[in-house]
Amino acid sequence: MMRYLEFEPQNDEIDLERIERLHLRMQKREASICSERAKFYTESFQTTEGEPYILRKAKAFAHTLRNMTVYIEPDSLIFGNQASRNFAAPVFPEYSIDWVVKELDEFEHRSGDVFRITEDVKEDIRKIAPYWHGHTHEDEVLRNTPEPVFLAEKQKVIHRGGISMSGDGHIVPKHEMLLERGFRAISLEAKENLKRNDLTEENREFYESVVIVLEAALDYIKRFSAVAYNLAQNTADFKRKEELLTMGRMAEHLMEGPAQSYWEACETVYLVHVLQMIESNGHSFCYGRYDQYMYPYYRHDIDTGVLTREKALEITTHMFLMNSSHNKVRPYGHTKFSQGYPLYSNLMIGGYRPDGTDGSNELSALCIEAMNLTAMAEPNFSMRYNKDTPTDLLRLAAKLIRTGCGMPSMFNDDVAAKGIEDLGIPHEDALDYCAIGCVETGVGGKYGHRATGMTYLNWGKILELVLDNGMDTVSGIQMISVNGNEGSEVTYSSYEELWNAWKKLLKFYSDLAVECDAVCDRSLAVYDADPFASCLIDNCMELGKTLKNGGCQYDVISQSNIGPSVLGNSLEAIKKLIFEEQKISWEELRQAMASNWEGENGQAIRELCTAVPKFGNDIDEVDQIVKEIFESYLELLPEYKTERTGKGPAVSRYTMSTSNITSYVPNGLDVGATPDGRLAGSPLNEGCSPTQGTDRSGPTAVIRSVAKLPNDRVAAGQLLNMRFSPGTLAGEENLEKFAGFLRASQRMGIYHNQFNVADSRILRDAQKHPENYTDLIVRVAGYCAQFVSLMPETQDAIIARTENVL
Amino acid sequence: MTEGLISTIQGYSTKDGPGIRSTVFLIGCNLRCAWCSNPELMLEGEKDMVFDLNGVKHSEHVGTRISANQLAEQLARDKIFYEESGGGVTFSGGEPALQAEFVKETSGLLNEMGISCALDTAGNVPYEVLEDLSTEMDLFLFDIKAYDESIHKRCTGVSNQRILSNVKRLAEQGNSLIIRLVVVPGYNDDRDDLKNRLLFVKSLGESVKRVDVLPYHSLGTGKYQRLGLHYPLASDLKVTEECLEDIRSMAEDLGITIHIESA
Repeated sequence: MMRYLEFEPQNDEIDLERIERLHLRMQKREASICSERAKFYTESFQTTEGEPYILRKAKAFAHTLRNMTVYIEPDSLIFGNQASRNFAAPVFPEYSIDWVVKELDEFEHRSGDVFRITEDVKEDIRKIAPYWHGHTHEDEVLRNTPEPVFLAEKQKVIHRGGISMSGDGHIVPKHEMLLERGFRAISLEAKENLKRNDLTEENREFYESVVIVLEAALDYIKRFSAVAYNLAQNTADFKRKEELLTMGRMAEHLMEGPAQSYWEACETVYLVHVLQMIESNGHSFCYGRYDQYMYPYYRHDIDTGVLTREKALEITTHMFLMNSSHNKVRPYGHTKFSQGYPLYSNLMIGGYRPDGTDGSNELSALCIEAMNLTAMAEPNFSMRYNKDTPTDLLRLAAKLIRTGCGMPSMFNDDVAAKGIEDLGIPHEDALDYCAIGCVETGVGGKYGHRATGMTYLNWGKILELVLDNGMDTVSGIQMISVNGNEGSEVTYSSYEELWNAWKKLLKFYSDLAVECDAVCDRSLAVYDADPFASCLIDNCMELGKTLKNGGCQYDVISQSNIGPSVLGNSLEAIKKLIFEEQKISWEELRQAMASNWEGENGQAIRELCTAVPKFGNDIDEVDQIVKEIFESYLELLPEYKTERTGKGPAVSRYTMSTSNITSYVPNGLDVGATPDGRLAGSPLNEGCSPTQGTDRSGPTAVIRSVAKLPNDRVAAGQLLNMRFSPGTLAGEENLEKFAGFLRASQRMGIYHNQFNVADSRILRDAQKHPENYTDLIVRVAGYCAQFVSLMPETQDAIIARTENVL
Repeated sequence: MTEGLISTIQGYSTKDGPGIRSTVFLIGCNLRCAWCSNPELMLEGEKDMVFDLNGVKHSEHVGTRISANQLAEQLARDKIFYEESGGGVTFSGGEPALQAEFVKETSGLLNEMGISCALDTAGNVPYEVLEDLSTEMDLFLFDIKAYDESIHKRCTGVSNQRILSNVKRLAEQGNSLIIRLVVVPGYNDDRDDLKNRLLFVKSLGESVKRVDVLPYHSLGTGKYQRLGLHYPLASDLKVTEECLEDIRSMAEDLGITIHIESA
């Protein structure tokens, strides 16, 4: 039976049984592949040959919206569907198609993130594939990727990530604007602009596309009217009938003008989300600061008596739950980096207003209650907090964390906002930041695509190359040499020499990664042209161009760097054991590592390595090294330019992020034993968290270590994941202590913190009996997922995180 | 500068007083409780615990000499956590009162930094020692292991006359107390004695802020092996639910609120 955290309903306007039914349907839903979008896009593209690509995309989007299946989920107060069935993933052939065809027969047989697919759908895909083959975003990227990037990929240093074959996502529309104006007004604005005579070709194509996509979006919404009326006719239940009639009326006028109520506003932001995910297969299309832009609608409706708190909670919960009906299919290779069918649809509450006062309100608390009832991995629920966050709200958040769902993840206003402000973004905008991915942050309605995860850099692998003179002994590829000689032989006579080698290789591969980003970015500007998403973000409408072409006000991107703690611990081990204490020789260490610590000697050396101080225990000497590692990368960033520099955005910059989703697991597979005592192939550390199992001094020491890092310069998100045993949070007293822990972490200067609250016994049992644990949601990285949908290696990595039993 | 002998510091300790605390475990004890779960802290001096892990011999050294200054600096690192949760530092062991000078100096330094301190003691020291320490302590966690002297002797090797008189005097002086009642089946779970313990606690009056009942757990078994010692208790000892229920109802009858720790 579902329970509220603290909410006490005063009437029966919230139907818990119905929420439970919806929840159960979402929990038991099956991922599948839907070919509708692919078919309609193909049909449309075949009739628009020769036209500008953005117009072709706009027309295909419109054609799809007017013809795709639309349905209303039974019981739901919220309508809008991305594909023909609940949890079906559409196919986006303009981004990439070859892998889809190749994996058609494998979707059902994956070890994680399985997709059902019918023979008919396979047939559909096979039929359209030849039309797209050679003409996709992926093909364009491959054509333009320089040879060194491929070599670095073969060395497993660089991973191109999703953006080399899918859309970009990672944006937050300007919700307050679209709720105030509606699609119609924006479409009219575009039409007005088309009358201007100073337009470039790019401007004209953009405005034309905006008109096409918004008109189609309005038509799409109206289609639900007929569905609702139809369902109403065939519904005996009086209450449901009335609801469906209301939904039908709502769909007739929604977005023709301003949103008229909380329900309409909620429905609207949901639809925008769905539409974005039909336009592009990027992910992390986020809701931004929901409790801020929705509050005026909530307040108005409550004050005028048209809405009760109970009804508001019901509507909000339905909307949250409907987020589990969307899906995205990725190539299997990418799935390893992002398991659990994540969409990273972040929804944020709490935090400062632009004027610096705390903006949390009644709706913030209601959202926490809604997420508790939702109990699914989406939306990716986050909370901003600061010294003025009300104690009651923080306690409520702690209660939700305690349920074990891993949410909300907590963002520290002072550090996150400072990071953004230091990029050159005005103070008021920085204070208005939100999550635009898992832990990535940006300014909603003003940031262009992508705070992070352009290209992934495996720092564990770079460390290996440093020890082998730049030679990857697995692939036999050497792109750069530390000492100028070919081959893997290199000797370091001091820590400084070793450190300089790290900096040399880091720069070499980071430069390459930036090149790799640019290739993807240039291609995305064409293939991911997104008039719908763009027209809802400043200043695309003013400048007459898409986000990717420089329409956004702030253009901040970053790569994702994986393994700083493994790297820092390894450098510390070498520094101490070889240079300072001379307990072992290079040769001994290398031999022990090469054998993966086998044999008596190997084990003895591993014990020495393991005993060296590790990051996460508040030991200055090693924490300092990890800090220097962060700084060594930060130093490189001012040199790097984005593709949009000087083309429109007020700020165009590279920044840093450690948001690396599940990539720390597969990246670890590519890295042999490391000097910190880590076994070959085992995961690297996650985000800026200590390496799994090496933080032995309790959670306060972890916070103290992480607080030493330059967190306010990791402006695209610094991920810290911790695990507490359920017993540690049980009872009122422990809850208060945990809330104190959160407040203290905030004061100490942590960027972000998220929690898993499940004991190892339960997780192991879930591995053995997945059928009993479909409801077990865990923190994976910057997002949550159903534990049982993850691959076994990732499940193990989660179990291996140090459990704070206190 | 006084030096002390400690084993470890447990951060985010939630069971040794209010708020988030750091608990320092001091080495050395003058009781010999049959059920002691920290034998490495009971015996004097530094020592090595030897154990086998997958056929490989490992050795773990127990005991660090540390100055009051160093220890206070180390503990103060969590000051913000104490502040935000109403926590502080708890000196435990072993018997911390056996290193009274060191504890007093350390807690004095902590108090100067605005950090609250507590002493987790079995109380088998001259009253003057506790009285002297009380100036630096905001709280005593005081163990009462049996009421009847012979039971106490049998279980811990010492009389409880001084212990009971000490806790009484601490209470009379208005010190805040958390009383801890450990219950070990077959050792100190005699119903009459349990009742007498509760009655005694009640007689301590307002100074008692909280009463914790700690059912025996066998988590210390491995440590005995590592120290090459024989574990004195049967390994399957467990306090029954009935017994706990009985304690609960006796306490209720006496008007005492108790908290039963989950093992």
